[in-house]
Amino acid sequence: MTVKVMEKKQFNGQFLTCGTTWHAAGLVGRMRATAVETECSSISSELYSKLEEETGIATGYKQCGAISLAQTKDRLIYLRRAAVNARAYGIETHEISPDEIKERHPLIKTENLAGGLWIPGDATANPSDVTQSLIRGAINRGVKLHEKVEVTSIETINGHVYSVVTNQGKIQCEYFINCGGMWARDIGLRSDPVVKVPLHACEHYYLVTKPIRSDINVADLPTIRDLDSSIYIREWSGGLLAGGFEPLAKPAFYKGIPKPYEFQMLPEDWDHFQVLLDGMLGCVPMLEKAEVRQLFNGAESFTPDLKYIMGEAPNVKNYYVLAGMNSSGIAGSGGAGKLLADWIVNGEQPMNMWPVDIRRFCQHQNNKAYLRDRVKEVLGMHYQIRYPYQEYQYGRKLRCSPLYPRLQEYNAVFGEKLGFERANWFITEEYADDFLLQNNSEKGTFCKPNWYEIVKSEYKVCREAVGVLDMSSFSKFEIKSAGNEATKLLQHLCVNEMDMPVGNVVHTAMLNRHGCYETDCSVARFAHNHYFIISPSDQVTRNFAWITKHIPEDKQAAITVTDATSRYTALNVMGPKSRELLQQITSTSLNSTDFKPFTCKEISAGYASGIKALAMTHSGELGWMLYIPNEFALSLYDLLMDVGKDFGIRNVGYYALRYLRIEKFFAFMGQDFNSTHTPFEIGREFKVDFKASNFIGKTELSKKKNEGVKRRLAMFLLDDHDRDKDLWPWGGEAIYRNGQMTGLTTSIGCGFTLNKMICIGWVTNKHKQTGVRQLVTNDYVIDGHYEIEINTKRFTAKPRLYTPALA
Amino acid sequence: MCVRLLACRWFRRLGESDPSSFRYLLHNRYDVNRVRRVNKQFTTSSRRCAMLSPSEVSTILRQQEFTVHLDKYEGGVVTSFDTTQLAANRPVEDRRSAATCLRSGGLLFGVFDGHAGTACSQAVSERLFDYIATSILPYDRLAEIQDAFLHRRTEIPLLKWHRNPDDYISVENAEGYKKSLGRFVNDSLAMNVEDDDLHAAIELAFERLDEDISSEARALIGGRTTVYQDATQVALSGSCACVAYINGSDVWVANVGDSRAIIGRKAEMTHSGWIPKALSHRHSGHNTVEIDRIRKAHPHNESAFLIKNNRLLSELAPLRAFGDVKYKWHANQLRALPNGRMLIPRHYYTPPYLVATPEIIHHRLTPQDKFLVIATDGLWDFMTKEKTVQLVGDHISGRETLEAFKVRPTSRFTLSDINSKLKDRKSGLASRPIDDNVATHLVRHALGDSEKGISHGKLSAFLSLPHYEVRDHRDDITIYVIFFDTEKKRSKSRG
Repeated sequence: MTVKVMEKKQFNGQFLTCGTTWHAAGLVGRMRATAVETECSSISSELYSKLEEETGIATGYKQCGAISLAQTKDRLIYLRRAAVNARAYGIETHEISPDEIKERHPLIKTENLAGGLWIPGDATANPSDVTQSLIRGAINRGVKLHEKVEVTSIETINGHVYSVVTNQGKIQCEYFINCGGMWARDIGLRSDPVVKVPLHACEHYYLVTKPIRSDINVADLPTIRDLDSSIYIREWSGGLLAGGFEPLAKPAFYKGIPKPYEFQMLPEDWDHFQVLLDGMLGCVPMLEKAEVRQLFNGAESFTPDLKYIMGEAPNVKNYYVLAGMNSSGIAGSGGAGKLLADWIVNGEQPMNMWPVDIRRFCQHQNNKAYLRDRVKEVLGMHYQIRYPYQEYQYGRKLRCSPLYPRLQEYNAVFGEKLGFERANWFITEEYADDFLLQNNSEKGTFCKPNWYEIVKSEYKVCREAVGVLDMSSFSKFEIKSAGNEATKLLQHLCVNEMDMPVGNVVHTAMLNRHGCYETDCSVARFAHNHYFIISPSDQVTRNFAWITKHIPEDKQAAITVTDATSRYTALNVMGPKSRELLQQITSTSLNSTDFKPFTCKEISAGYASGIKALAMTHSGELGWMLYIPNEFALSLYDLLMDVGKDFGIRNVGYYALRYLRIEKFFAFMGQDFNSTHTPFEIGREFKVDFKASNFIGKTELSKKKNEGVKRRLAMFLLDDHDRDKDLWPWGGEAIYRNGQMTGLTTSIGCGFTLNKMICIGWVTNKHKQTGVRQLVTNDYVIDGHYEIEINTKRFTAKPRLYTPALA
Repeated sequence: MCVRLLACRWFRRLGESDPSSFRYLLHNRYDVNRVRRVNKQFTTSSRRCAMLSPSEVSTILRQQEFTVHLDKYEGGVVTSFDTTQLAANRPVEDRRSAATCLRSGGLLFGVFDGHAGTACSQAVSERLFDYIATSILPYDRLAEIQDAFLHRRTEIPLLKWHRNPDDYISVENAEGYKKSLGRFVNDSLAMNVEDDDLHAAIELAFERLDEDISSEARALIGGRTTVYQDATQVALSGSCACVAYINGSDVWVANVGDSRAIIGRKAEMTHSGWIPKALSHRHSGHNTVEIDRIRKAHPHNESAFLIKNNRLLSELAPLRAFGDVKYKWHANQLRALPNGRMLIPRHYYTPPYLVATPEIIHHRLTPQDKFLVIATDGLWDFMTKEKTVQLVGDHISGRETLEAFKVRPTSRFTLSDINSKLKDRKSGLASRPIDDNVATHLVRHALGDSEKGISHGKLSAFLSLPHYEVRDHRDDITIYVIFFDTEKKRSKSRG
């Protein structure tokens, strides 16, 4: 295979750095928000430290360590949470006191500090040198460079990359990788079909001082991250380089990136930079006397969720993307490059890449105005405390359900998923004053949240009366065919028998060839050749790509797959009184023999017709999911709320649903498990029908069935946790089995019926001496003594493997 | 809208009264409650359908704006001034003038709020400064001016005007004006006024001009054909005048009627506060001192009729004015006018009821005094003096931040120096203005301010009112904002 690298700029000794690399600050931070990004940094560090040996070009790599400072208690909690995660991914960290900070970095003002985190593995490097060294290595190994090439378009044939058209001619290729940095979105638009790479440039600042006169050799100092002041400081040619991630950034190039834009800077905006300058002077007081060498304002691209964009485009085969490094390109690129290369060569992801997978976005998120607004907030998130369940403030209301204005009238507090506004909970009248007073100043907390009582009452409504939840954001697909092609396709994809009686609904899964989850979904059969599939909101792009990808060449015409997500408004009517209530507004019999759980019918209710009614609620409660054609949604909702008054109906939000679900140990794809897990590992062996036809991954899965599993998702009930006084678990807490760390929690719920705090999390079995992973049997899980650590305090926890019986 | 504005200007050029303005023969002022009512109505109903786009609104607001920068030698303490005018009447009845006195180097600024037509405000705006300049001349310099008259020079070397190129000047009347001025120069030479008494000199100029307006009209009625043709119209219409004379650090404000002049003073303690200092009192029906003055000037049995509905003889809102001879002449003299009987107000026994004697306030500028606002009551209907100075003050700091902050590589600024400079800019950044011209900025706020900042809907509604209704909602607005540099020792007195 020949690899060609095309670059817009002429290489004047400086290869491939003309966009943003040349002005990068060169921090190689190890502690990242997700496992995959942490892995990228680890690989990068390893690579940069040895690269000179191979290429003869120095990278300036210096393992100077780094200190993250905490000015507040919450920050310390946040750092400890991050440290637990880092430890799980193999990164060494130590919590240190203000005095120890002073020892390691005498220039720092420590009076206002609560503590800090020492990360010995952190390093700095010289960005340009790293790039030169990398490219030398690549050339040595046969990579061809082409300079002054501008890509005009990427041609595809049958949804497969075919060639790249450039100003220097056409190059046929098997694979194309869009590494366009802040141009990646524009390059994505230059293919047919368009590949959506949602990122947007922001102004990004750092300041370099003239050499500092001091007794201390600044070259030996570790990197400082004063997170509460949004700044970092490292040594640079005898002076200091101080940059930051201000809370509200300035988007750049909304109207297009100027041409040419090579080795260029944006005009400096000191007024915008001032907030960071304040932080710098507060952190290192001796900077007050320092003089400026230069203030850099470079453009950097950011993604809607501050995570890289990697992987194969959902709509063009062999079109890969690696972009959106969110200003941590130097730290991430070495590893990201390796992981993507593995991905391409093996045709599948090397680890759980979902957090950075390009398919995590929906098509609408490529909207430029949305991106411009969102990145304002995203840049600053690098250093801000991310509280549990924190929502974005900018780039909201990208997608709204037809009921949005109604839910607003009912005082819904909205959250957002893939740009879709969803009610998290509803402010009721009795609490209205409390929330009005707090207004928008609500910052978030690691303790008992202010919505606790409200969500509890919403939960109770679903358990005792009837609640209604707008779930329109969920992914919905319709598959139709002329004959039995749809059935055949689904039989190939799903782990259950899809040639089930019309009117049946099954909670099933689609697996990859390793027997791991590709999709966790429900399939309803409305006619012999008509299926309706529901899956989690954030799986829409990925599922659609997966399903369409597996339509055989010769069946393309016979099978229609439609993304019906935006076509229906979904109402989840759940609770013991849901049947009686719904019976008031529909003539279809809903009694337990005529409309059994996990069946479906097309019904009319009120003035609405063509409603797809599924007797399931995602919560384990009695009830129906109603998929209502959008134009009928408002009138049906109003009718439901009106008639429902006598049944105690209430709007409920996603938090209540989450608590209902978690208490019954319904694991959720994307949160509790991902595409590296098999159904056996999450306790769903009984959901796989090995008698069903030859579905993808069946062989591998049968093999694994006999082998047993090496990790297991379990549910834990905390024994002595005081909801009012103790910090809450929020996911990401360490689970100890017999004193040994065995895994991390994934999601948390308040079990209002079990009256316990509930954690869902992973159990592994590492051999004490060798560290080799061993089998995890049910007995192994149940036999252990478990503790879950929340901010240094450990709570005893009781494990369970299956849905508990609720009173 | 553009067509209407053009028409407006065309009428002004003609210098004639628009027939429709007779609807407002009685200087139709309105009360605060009415403004509130209108505002409310605007904020609710009109916001929904803006008739004008934001750029159209800006075009209308900026149509009559202009800025003059003055160097140290020409301006003294005055660095620059911004002015604008927004018409409500058709044609606009407000006039404005700015000029430098050639002999003293002092600067004159005036706003002239006309009523019952434009003739009087037009005439006063053209003539008053000549009278003042003459009146304040040192005795020995008067002869030079007389000389210019004797030699029939076209330019009398009294003033250098700072006019908007659009400003109308009545060519037809110029000769008549000049004759009267010549007589005033002669009379001044004959009089023995003390040179230093500026107060008296300005007062004299005001009164003399008003007398001249009166006598010119009487002469015209008496058949003297040498008088300019508009003399009667000038005398029958009226005008307020608020004039500031700035020389060195001294400011004199002479006011007749209900326009106002306010000094903006930077508060020393608070960081961004501004304090207004009024240099004029409004001569209106709300001013008890004025009412007392008028009552004292007339027999006791008239008191009940003098001021009614806050108006002089139930008719006229300003209690001092130029022109308006129907409140000054004897009834007999008025009867001599065509349709003269109709003009005489009820209860008209002991004229004159109205004077053009200015109230003069002298003020010495302090280093904290940064600007002077002079505006006709069209502005004050919407604005308090406190809000006005705050808006201008914020505009100054906002305008400073329009230019990006730079650190030159050669500069030896420390980071702490830079940080404190940047902090100082913060308040300015928050108030970065839409309009460069601060006078336009004031008009925009006057008409557009709502609870949530400037409301485009309200502005649009105010500016797109039909001509027969607009005067019910707002009056002509004319503003000067004069900026001082009182720190850099520009304040050297000359003359």
